[in-house]
Amino acid sequence: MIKRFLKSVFAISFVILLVAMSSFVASAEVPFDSYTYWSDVGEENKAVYNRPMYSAELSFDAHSLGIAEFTKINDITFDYQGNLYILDNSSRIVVIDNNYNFVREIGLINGEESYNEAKSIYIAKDNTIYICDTEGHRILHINPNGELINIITLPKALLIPDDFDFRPINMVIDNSGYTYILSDGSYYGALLYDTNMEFLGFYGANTVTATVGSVLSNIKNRILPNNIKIEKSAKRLPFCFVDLAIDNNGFIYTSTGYTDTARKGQVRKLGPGIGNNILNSDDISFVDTKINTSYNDGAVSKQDIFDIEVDDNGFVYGLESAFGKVFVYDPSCRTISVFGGGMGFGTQVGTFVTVSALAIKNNGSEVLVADSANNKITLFKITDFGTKVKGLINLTLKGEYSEAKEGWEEVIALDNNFQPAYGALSRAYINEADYDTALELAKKGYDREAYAIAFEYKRSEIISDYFVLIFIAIVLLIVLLIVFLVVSGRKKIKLIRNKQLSLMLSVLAHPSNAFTEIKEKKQGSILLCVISVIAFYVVSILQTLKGGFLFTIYDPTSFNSIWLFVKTAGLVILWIVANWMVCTLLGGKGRFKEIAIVTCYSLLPLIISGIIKIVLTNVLLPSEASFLNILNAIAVIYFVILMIIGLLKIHDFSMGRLLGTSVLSIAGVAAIVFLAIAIVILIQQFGGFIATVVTELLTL
Amino acid sequence: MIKKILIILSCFAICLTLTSCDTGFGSLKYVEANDSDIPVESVIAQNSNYILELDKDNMGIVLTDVKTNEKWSSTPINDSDEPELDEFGMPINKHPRVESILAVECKNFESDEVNTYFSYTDAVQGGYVTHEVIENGILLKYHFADASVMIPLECTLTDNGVKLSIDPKKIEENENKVISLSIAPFFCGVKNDTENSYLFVPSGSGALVGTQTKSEQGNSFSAQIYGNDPSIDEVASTSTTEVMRLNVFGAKAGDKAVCAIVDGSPASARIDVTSGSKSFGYSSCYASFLMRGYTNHVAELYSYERVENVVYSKKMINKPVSVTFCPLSGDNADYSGMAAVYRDYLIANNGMKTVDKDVSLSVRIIGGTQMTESFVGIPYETIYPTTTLTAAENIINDIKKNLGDGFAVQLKGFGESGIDIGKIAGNYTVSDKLGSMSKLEKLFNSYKDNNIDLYFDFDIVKFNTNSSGLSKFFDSATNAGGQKALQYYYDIAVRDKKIDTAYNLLSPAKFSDIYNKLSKKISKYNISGVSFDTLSSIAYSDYIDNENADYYSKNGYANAAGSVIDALKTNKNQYMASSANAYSAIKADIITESPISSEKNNAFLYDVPFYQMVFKGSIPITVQSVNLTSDSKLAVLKAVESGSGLGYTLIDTWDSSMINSDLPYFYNSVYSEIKEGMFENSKSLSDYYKKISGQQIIKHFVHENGLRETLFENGVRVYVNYTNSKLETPAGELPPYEYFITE
Repeated sequence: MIKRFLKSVFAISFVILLVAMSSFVASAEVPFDSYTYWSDVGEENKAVYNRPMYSAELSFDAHSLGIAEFTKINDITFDYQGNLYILDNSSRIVVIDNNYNFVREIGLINGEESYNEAKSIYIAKDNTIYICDTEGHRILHINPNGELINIITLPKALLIPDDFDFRPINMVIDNSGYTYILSDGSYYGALLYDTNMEFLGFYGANTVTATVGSVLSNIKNRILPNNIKIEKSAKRLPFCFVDLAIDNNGFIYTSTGYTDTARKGQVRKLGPGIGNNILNSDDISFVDTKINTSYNDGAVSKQDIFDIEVDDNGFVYGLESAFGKVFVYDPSCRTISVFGGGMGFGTQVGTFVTVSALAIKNNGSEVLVADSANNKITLFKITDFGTKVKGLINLTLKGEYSEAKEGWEEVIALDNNFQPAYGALSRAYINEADYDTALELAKKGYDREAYAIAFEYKRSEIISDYFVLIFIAIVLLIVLLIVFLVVSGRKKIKLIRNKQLSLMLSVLAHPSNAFTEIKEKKQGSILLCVISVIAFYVVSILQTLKGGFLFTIYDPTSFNSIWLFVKTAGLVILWIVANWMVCTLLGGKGRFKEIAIVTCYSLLPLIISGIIKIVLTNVLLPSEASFLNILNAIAVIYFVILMIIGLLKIHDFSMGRLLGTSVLSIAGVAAIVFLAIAIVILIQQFGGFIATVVTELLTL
Repeated sequence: MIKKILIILSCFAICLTLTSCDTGFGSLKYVEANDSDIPVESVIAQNSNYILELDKDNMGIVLTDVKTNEKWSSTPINDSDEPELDEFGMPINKHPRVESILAVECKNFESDEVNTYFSYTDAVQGGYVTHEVIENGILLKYHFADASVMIPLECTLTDNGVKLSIDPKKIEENENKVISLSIAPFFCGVKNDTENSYLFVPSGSGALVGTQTKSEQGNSFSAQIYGNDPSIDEVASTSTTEVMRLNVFGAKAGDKAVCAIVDGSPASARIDVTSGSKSFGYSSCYASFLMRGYTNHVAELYSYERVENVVYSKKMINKPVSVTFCPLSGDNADYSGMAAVYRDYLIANNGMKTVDKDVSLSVRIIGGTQMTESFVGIPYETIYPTTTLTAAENIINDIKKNLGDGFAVQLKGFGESGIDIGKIAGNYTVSDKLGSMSKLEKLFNSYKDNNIDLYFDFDIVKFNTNSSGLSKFFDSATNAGGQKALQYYYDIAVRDKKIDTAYNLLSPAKFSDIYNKLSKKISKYNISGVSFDTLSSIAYSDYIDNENADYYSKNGYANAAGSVIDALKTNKNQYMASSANAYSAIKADIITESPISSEKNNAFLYDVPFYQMVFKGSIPITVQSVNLTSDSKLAVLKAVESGSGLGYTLIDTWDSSMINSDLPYFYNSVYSEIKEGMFENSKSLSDYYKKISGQQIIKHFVHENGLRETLFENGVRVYVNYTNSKLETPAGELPPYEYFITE
């Protein structure tokens, strides 16, 4: 008997252990790649592996809570005491305590009011509950016992259009007691109510960005409307908000759902008044840079931030629906970590099938994600590394670089791939006047802002240290130059003895004479032409490769020298061919060789300015970039003037005829490009056709 | 004359018709049975340990322990004598699947229809079962009448239990072709909500699955032994996952347990789990064999339309598939007992030998990685030297200076293409940016007499460039669709294939050729220690050979890989196996990068260090690189719990251009930055490692409060606390994230 009893006790305790362990054993590894993005390293941001900032600790469902199955978890949220509220699709709210144990359930309101299909809940500071009964077109305000306090429906106001469909999907109350309600499909912004729940108006609508083209197209469409155009114009309505969040200062954050065009600026922080975006996020993509093209039968993965949360330090947490990932942004909208995933097939703790809601606790140290497909909630806990990084970012954003220095060094020791650490450390070294280290770190972390600051100090340091020497060197250089010019003038010293080269260089000073000589005495050289085109191409490349770090973004993995060749040498060759063809037809006297020589010799200002730019970008700051722009403008104007003079000389055209043939030549260039593209596409399609036929035959 | 011509033509036509009848499936024709032929006697075989009986009701088997009279069966047996009754007092019948000893998945290649047939409903009730007596057992032939398929199941009594095997060559089939077979799916079955019960699966380090009733469908989990077959074309990689590296699984119910070893064609098997299903009423794990391999064929048609097909190979695998079920009872009826049974099996049947030394630290030093540089804008690939051989030597000397000897070093990614994929085996040389072969030889010679084991890694599996005697076209593995089984790196953000990273897998038939070439270099430069990381950690199919089907459905890969390792060992070389599958781990002199967690499937209860429990004490073992885990502290605790040495991945220098690397090795590997932590961890654990050197783990417990306890054969116990609160142990209070060692 005792043996049996002991056996039973052991067995029961074992079962308890198994259930308990299923929830609370820490995991060593994560079933997803934790990554972050590096910015300013190339044409687009780069996703790189990083040390996980969050790890999936546990997942729980109705079974592990010991309650009836959830129908579909629509929303989760925390109250101010840290209790978790789970909104089930079947008029049910489940309350879980701080330790994720079941506390109580709230069912029908007053025993009769159902709220099936309610999309979200909001817990006010007084612990009353607002249920956004979306399909019921109302918000139910209830007390913690589930008794109805109030029903909020669509107010009657002139500002609200007659066809406005009130389908509340989210709401928040700010520190002053103002209520913001988001209605599904509304592109007017959030409905704003005062403390007495009087409707004040709409707040913070997205706007449509107008371009000259879109305005003209709009006018045209209004004059000549048809169904397709009307449908298209509907798509140009402002994008709707899909979620609201509020920070501890009472600022409202919004997220915009997926749109075909807007993959940037999805998260906004609305300022007071009309609710302008004060987050400086319009040019920031809040999802992945790339789009998956092979998964899901080639359909575009519609990544959208459909649920956001903000912690007390301004870190934004966005839940993305296509892959089931959580993106964490610092207050300056920099991606600091991405975790989760599953792409609709998640079977592991920390991966998902259909994510439905996000909630954060303890200032973001715990992140919960609900999955409505398997009705599980997963708890992600911040790692030591994550805690350290977030703390250091706070210090750095406050400008306390020196205080954060040691911490950032530890972060780099833990994760070389954490980009913000380099910029922050660089700033700390600037504070210590160690500019060499600051420059090195800023360059390592591609932080051009920090690099510019360090570079300015370093440049000033060099100038002040070597001012006398530099001054003497410049004076000496000028004196030597003057002496050389005087002496060479008197003694008729020729630095360049090659006549053709001398003629080419004289184009810069005496273009008319030089081109006349080329036309009449046939003095031009095709070899020099080729050399100048190559020089033009090489200088263009060197501007990217050897230009100053502050002015260039060189990414060896995406740098395309062939495309640069097409843009430089290719364009020159095309111009020569097109101009020859046009001018031959229109009575131009210039021969192909002469056109080539004029065009190539005219490139000299561009080549020289390119070389000067390479030098200047290594000594100037971005704030001094106007010098470079002026230099650029001068070079281009000089080039155009040389071309005009040269073409006038060789073709023997009037100015009007020259302009006309030039325009036609440009059109000719476009035609050749079009033809070349068409041929390439044709060849590609033919190749593709052959490949497809082979593939289909192999499949049979 | 005309008559002659007509006869010749007729003969020709008949010949043509006959030859065209061979559809290439190569299996025996199904011959219908007239009637069932069930043996009169229930007892099939008997030895000093067990009695093997036939369950005539469902034509399953029952195994009875001679001493205790306890029974194990292909259909779970109720312990109570009373039949189970429903609410109306009627006896509850078991689900037909639970009553079936075989589940057969068939595909009709004409209609593309796929159906699953169960032995109980489709052969015992709806078909026929015949038998033949064989030595120590019986051959049961299940005729699935509806499917026109006959499966011959050999049941043989062994000293440890019962072995169930099927020879694919003896399977009979007509238009329905067998694509997969599940053997005794409920032998490792447990009635839901049974007290003190769980299922065991070898996912990663090992995991337990609960048996509590969940829902109508319950939880399910499925994974291939030795990992997913890379030859199966997947459009996207949805998540990262730990692999099943061992061919074992099991179940425990009360004081009884079963350890199942997939001993025949394990690479072709997957382990399926169904738990907490109301419709079955039982939780179970079992092996399903993929008899015909497949690939997902995605064809983009000229109209840009995509057509996705599952393309199966016509021929079946050519080697018998089998599972041996070993019953356990009493104190041995748990996963510790399963580990012991499996270890003994590996020693007795697979030649696993005990290595007379133990290692408490292994470091993996990465040589270089490929980077894109440009010369006046023209891009070219070059090696970025993360660690030169000289730098590696300095690192090894520094570790020796600080920790003494007795550690293992792997030099990885020192070939022509560094850690990235290039020519096969790094073109059998050291990249000139990292050193030279003579420098490597000197390095090996200098540590020869020291107690530092040096291993040089060769990737003889992945390649993307032709090299002498090796062609991408002729020598790479082919998938079931007849196309090259191209592999890709996946974008870490959107999990999309990176098309420009395509590479090939070497056909397993070529392993020996490549090894022969490699062995000359190994001998020439006195490379005493070798590792084949990729060879030991993945397994794949190759359908290039239409005649023999040697490497179909991953079958044969393990043998091919094993032969290479055997050849290496024959030449007196030492072998390091990293992230090793069982076929490689058993032959190793040291196992590194051993998994410390499972794949974290939602169906799992918690992880157990089963992998280490099997090998610890027999072969030196270290855990996966501590510095590259999500939580280094946790990883160290895992090493302590499993008695495994620490592992680290190291590089000498890091540059921000390395953010372009497709491999996750570099974000926390710079030696100078992590060495202090490495020394600290190693020093703090050195006494512990001395105590447990060469000791097997005989018991592992997960206590009610979350405390974990490991008992070694010499009596050393270690308690590990992964929880956030203090825990009571027999040796005192254990703070969070700490461990206690007692003797």
